[in-house]
Amino acid sequence: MPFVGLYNYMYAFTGDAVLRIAFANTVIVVIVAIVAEFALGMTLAILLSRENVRFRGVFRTCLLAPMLMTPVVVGVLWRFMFHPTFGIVNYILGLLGIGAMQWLSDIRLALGSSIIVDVWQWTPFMFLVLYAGLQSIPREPQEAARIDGASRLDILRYVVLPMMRPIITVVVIFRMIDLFKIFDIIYVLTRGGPGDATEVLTLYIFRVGLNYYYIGRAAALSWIFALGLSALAMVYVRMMRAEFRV
Amino acid sequence: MTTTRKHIEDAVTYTALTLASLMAVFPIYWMVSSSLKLDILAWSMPPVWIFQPTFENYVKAFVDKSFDKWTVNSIIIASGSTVLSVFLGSLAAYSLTRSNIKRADDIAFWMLSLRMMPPIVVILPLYILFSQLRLMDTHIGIILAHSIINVPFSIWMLRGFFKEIPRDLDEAAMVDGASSLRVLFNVLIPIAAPGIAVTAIFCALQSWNDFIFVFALTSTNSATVPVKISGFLGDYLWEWTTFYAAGTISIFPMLLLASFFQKYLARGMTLGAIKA
Repeated sequence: MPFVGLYNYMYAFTGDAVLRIAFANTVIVVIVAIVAEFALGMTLAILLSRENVRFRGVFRTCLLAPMLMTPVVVGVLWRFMFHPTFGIVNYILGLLGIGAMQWLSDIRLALGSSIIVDVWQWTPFMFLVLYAGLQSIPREPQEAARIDGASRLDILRYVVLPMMRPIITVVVIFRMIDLFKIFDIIYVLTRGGPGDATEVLTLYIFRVGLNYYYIGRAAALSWIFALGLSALAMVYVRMMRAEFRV
Repeated sequence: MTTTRKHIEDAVTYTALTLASLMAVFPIYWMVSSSLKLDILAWSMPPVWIFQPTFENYVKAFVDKSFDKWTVNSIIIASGSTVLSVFLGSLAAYSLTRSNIKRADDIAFWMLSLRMMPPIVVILPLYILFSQLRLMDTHIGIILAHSIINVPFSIWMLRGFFKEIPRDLDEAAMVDGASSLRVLFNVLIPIAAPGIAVTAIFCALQSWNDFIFVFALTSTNSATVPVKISGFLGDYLWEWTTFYAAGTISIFPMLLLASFFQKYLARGMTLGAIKA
């Protein structure tokens, strides 16, 4: 390998068009998946921790099940379920009067389909942590607010959410770091295709290094990626320390 | 609150929870039930809900696709990496919590940050290193690779559990003449047993689920279940049922572990996330 100085880094920042697409896709996946997983997980956690919910254990076990599956198995399973003619998803939508869709081969849908699969598998994690959080915060402030005449939306917004802030911070950043690293699910679902529609950072670096053998370029990209994520991790550590004074 | 309003709210709650539970469980039900169907039934649409179960697909997965071998590989690698990580992790956590190392907290945070590193960053150097050391496609190689992720995790978790144990206990043992290793193995580890169980489960899960390391660093000898499952791409319809069987096999060991340790699991997960 000839010595090329900082060429690989310059190429990454100036010439690499696919890298920009991969970066944009990764950011979309991270943001959309976190928002969806948080909204769903929080709603389910609040519903399940209402008083006198029956079959609580059954609901909890069902809701946690997807988390126990291997991501690769989840990916292949959904790939089959998304199959345009023999897939169960199109069949069920057909029953509801919605036409068949090309979930993984339509450029406009492929990224969204990948996000659906991630949301299916990882909302349970969000739900589990938020549910545990709801159980652990004291009840008295909520009672007090209720007696003072606060509506339940107000209690949620001004009492419950602020008390859960440390837990929410931690769980969101956990998911964020994992989502930046997303590989397995997308690799088996679409391999980054069709075209570059679902190309994400890890997949792209992997391909550059171990499929095309541009080891130097892949190493440069890894460095940039690692530094970016470390910066994120540092923010995370700061926040943790501020919250818990460890 | 009026009773009608309460009834409406209850209805909404149960409907939402039931729908969400169905959506969470249905794909798993679909996989398991399809694994018991004959080829032609498995991809017939509309789906056949009632059928004569057959175990033919499992035979195919084991005999034609040698999933017995991949499962054994997965088990060897997961247990090897778990034992190594928990052992090294407890030694490190012990010294981080019990001896006067300067900036022990910073060291612990730094180790945790190794876990946040994307695997792709270490895979390229490992690829070159393993080719030179002849560790490519060996069990030992993958066990070591997984431990890169699992050791920092064990240190972090066990440090939390060891911190909870009052120091008086090990000081008492020291006074009675126990060496520090003896304190670790005869006092701390037995007390922190639930914590060690949780840590071990998560290490095993991480290793069991891993795809990218095994995919990059093996070909056939030490391939694991996820890598072999990624080979089913659905282009050949007749392979679908074999995948359903293989996928069902892959969830069993973890489902067993999880159901045995369900109590610890919820606690450990939230502990890892909430406690610093």
